[in-house]
Amino acid sequence: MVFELRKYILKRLIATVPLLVVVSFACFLMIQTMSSDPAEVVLRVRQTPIVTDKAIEEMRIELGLDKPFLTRYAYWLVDSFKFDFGVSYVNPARTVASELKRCLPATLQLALASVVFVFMVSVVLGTLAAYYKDSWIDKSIRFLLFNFSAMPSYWFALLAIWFFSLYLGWLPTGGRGGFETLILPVLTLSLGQIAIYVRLIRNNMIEVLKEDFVFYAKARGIGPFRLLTQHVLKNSLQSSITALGMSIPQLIAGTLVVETVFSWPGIGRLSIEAILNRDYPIIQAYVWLIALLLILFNLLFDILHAINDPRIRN
Amino acid sequence: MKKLTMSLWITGAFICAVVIAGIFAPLIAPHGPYENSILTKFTPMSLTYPFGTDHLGRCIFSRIIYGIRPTLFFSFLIMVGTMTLGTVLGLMSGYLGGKFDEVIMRFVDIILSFPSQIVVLAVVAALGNQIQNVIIAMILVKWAWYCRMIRGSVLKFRQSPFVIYSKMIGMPTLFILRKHILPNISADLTVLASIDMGWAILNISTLSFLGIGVQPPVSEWGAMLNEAKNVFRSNPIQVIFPGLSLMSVIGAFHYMGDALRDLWDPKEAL
Repeated sequence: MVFELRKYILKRLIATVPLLVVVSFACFLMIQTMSSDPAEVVLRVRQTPIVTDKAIEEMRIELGLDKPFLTRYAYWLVDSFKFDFGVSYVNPARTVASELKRCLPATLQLALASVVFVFMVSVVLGTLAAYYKDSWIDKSIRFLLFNFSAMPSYWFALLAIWFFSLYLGWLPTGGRGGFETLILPVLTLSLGQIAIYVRLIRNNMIEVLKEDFVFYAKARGIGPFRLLTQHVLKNSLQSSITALGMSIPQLIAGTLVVETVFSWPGIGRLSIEAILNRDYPIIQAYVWLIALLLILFNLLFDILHAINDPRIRN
Repeated sequence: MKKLTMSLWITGAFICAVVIAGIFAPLIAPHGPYENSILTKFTPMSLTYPFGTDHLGRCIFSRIIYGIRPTLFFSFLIMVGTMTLGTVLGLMSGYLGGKFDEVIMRFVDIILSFPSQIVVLAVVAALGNQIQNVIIAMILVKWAWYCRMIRGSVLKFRQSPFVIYSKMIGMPTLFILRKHILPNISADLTVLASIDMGWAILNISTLSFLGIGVQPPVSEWGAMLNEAKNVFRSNPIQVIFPGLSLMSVIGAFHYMGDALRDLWDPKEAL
């Protein structure tokens, strides 16, 4: 048993290495194949009055663009593991790492708050929907969530700002401050996810509710609340927790729109600005960071899932 | 079961109505999509302007009707692109197996380890902020997901008796794929295509809301919301109708996908 698990983990770890290499190479390549010459872009965004060939040549050397392709890739990869992504093209006084460090906490706060919120709401709604399957409760939960999942998140955000901020005046329209600034962004970010997890939890729970041990627990006279919380929930949450863990990087990537609408100073907004300014090192670092998170979280939760469920190890 | 088909009919009829309204937009819309006038700025709803007017005095209802064209057309292109790539590679990968399958699946893994939204943005930043680049980028990031799903469906039939028999009597691979596998997974394909349309509409509009792809004067729904956002404080009502249109069309495609799956695969429906 233990041996088998160790083998599975080792296999997954080994399979991750080539994936990391190829993904990092793709990140590097993507920016290299961009149509405009980075040296020229740097000169333009720094508002050099006259862009001469000589200036471009000097800038190429300053940025290390004169070295062979694979050498640059190797340097970039090694540096990236030291969290050194070079200097922002737009603002040479700032390193990419310091920009990320400045913006990452805001995004992490938003993403983690959303994960917690998604989890709590989905468990409650999913349980209700499963327990009262096909009743009006189930139907209205599903109807509501279906509509929310079809709603573009930025539109929901605008409506929420209109209602809660402009009409009622309860919450701020944007920016990052105390708890009250977190509410609307988290709500917006969570909506689409809640629809997914309520469905997942509901379907799992309906299966679990058919099991013999539930029947037996009912026969023992255990009330519905204790039955659900102590017997059914534990058995129906496993796959949802795995899925939720894997969706954390997606939530981080999904902050793009929310951060823009609510002017939340996170890495999503940073990267949109970088794209509009063609600040390649920041775009590169952002894509690499998110890809890395996706791979690592997938690995981590795959292994956790395997520990919990011996059937999938083969 | 009867109720299910009934709602499927309604959804289908709604989508058809939207498509027809888009095709015959000049006949249905009371005004042109760019007909502006400072005198009619922020007019409330009336018979002449069913949804009111925007900050340039343009009729919102007409703009929504004209907006069906870019919204559905571009999403349709993306859907066709992703489904074609995904189906061809998924079919081959699932049926042929072996080295080919291994290579394709590793490639799929790589594409799926990138955040799709940010890759689309990066590609657009590299190639230029035009709608064709958005479409190319979306196809590039999304086909992998469908490829994996379709491969899964193919695997279910790979070892089925009729395929093995066909192979045994020496039918060519292409024939087996076309006559045996494809018809069997067509139900799955239709469901995926329907969900894909919803996904594409949502993403195209999100990008145009951010100012990427379709640019503001064009009456695409996301771009309309982008403009509405700028006058949000003075005329918040302007965000209502483009958003409602998006929601109902996306919802219709999602619902159609779900209902079709329930219809064809009752096991999955709970």
